[in-house]
Amino acid sequence: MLESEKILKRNISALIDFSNKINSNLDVDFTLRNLLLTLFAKFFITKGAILLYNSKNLLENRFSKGISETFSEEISKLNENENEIENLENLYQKYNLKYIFEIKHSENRLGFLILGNRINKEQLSNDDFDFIQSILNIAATSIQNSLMFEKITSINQQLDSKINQLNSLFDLAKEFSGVFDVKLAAKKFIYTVLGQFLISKYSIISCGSSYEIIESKFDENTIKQICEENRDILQNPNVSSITHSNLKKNGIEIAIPMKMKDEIKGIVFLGKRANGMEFSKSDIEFISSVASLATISMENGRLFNEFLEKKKIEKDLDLARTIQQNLIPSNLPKLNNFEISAINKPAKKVSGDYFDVIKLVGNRILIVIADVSGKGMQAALLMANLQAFIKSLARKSDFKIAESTNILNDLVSENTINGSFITMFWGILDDTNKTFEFVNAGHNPPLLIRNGNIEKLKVGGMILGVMETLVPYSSRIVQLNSNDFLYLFTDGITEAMDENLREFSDEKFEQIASNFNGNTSSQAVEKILDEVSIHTKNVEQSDDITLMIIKTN
Amino acid sequence: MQDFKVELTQKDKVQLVKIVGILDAHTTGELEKYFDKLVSEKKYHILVNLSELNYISSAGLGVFMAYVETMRENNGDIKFAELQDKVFHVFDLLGFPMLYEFYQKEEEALKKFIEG
Repeated sequence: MLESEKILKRNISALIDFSNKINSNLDVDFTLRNLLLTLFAKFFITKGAILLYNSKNLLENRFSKGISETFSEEISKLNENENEIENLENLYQKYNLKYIFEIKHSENRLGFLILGNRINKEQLSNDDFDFIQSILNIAATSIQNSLMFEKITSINQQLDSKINQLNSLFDLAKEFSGVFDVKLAAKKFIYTVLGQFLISKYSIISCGSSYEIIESKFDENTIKQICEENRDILQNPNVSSITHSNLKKNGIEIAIPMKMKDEIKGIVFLGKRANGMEFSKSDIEFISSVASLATISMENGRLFNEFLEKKKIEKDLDLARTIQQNLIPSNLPKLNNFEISAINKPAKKVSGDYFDVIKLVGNRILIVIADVSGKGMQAALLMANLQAFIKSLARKSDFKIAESTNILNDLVSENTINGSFITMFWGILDDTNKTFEFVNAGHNPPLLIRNGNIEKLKVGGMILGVMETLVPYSSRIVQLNSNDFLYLFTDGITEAMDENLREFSDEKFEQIASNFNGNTSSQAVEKILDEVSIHTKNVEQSDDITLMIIKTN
Repeated sequence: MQDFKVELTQKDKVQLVKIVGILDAHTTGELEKYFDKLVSEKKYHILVNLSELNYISSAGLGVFMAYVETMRENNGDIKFAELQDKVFHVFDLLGFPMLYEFYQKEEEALKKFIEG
């Protein structure tokens, strides 16, 4: 066999061997290593490098042997220069490299192969150049495939990462829908962010009229200080920037606002990522979307608690109303000489009006009408107290109305808070001799209608609850005749307003009462209520209405 | 829903933490309580066995991030052993192998802890 044939055969077998090796692999570095080492072995070369264009089309030293490290740096600097190729030639000569070959796939330039001198100082022959060209052609296909593979792997990784982020979002969204605890929502949110971005340090601060550190792995005093310095921002949800220099100094890498609609509800401080990577724009977008999810959940939690609180109050009021309804008598006693009718219509759920009809010892009946100041729970409680006082006073066998009023006023005065007071009128009907003894403690004077004439029952004293009894209350006894009507009422009737805010008025009330020509007290009550509703039409009732009418038979 | 469970066993100075079931935003709170307990008991050598963990979300990973510094500041560590492939994939995707040690077998990790 001729020497040239031998060389040819050796070259071909080297090419086949190389081709087999690299085509079974998709790792770029493996291909490059094999390419360079094959050439080193064949031509007794000790220095060389393979430069490839990366995904950003910048030249990179991907694999080199026997060349100092500064070479890689200088290669990356080449990219900044316009005359890249020209400069490349100067550069490889500077590093004592001799040959340069272009690596091409179809018409695409993938990069360059650079080789140093042969150890035996011989020049490469034309055959050698042909061989190197052939091996580069084989390598180029493999490099191209490997680069594509690298790119796809990287895209896959990015996709996987995105899928993971989406899963986290779904996971959280699902989780948040059932969370009504602000702190718990904050925790779930922050752990997702820590896991996703390899962060160990964080703080969550809620903003608003006052800020609050919900969670913090940073030193709380430092965070407090930052919050203090940025108080304006934290308290004014329209501003979104925080003094950054302060943050970096304390290891806070980014501050992300927790927004709901356009309002900032809180701030999240995050520390460095453990892998040293910066937060990319899409990372910040992800954290922001998780933050808004969390914000909504936290806000829901707050609203839910508020809702619960409101429900509780409503339930309290319902209870108060039930109690109160039980305070007002549902059945009025049947008497020999008197016929009593009464109505109580609360304006709100819980009324401040009260009336009662209580049997006393001897053939006597105590009637009471009162208006407790204020409305709602407080009025209801005071009213319940008032009733308890009255009931216990009324049990006494020698119940005397003026003396009892003195005691009642002392009791009420001791038991009222916030300047509450009660106007009350009460009296004793004697069912044997038709007398009526009464005391008026600052209440709208009841009307005694006799033959169309009006008498106002004013005798008594001051309203209950303002101060202890200094001046004793007075009482008065009137003798009632057949067909006398007693009208006891609260100002809810006389002050009932129409759509133009005009009151029903005392005059109108007195006029209707004095002109009433019906027979029964219940007809009289109906007449008054009809007239009031004609006056107010559809206007919502603004105050409690209580009316008691007693007809003497 | 699958049960979530944490089993604690002490082996030498190492605290074995076996997490069973699904670790997601729903169950992280539970795991967090265990880690709080370990820190309060000054147990800083934590070996997490995940052989029976079937799913982990980012929130689950977050717990390890939140506690690893405390462990390391006290000369301890959090190491992981016996992860199922799909679970390791999530750890890998988010770059955990750069920051934590992972072992095929619990014994290997134990040995590493004990030998230091």
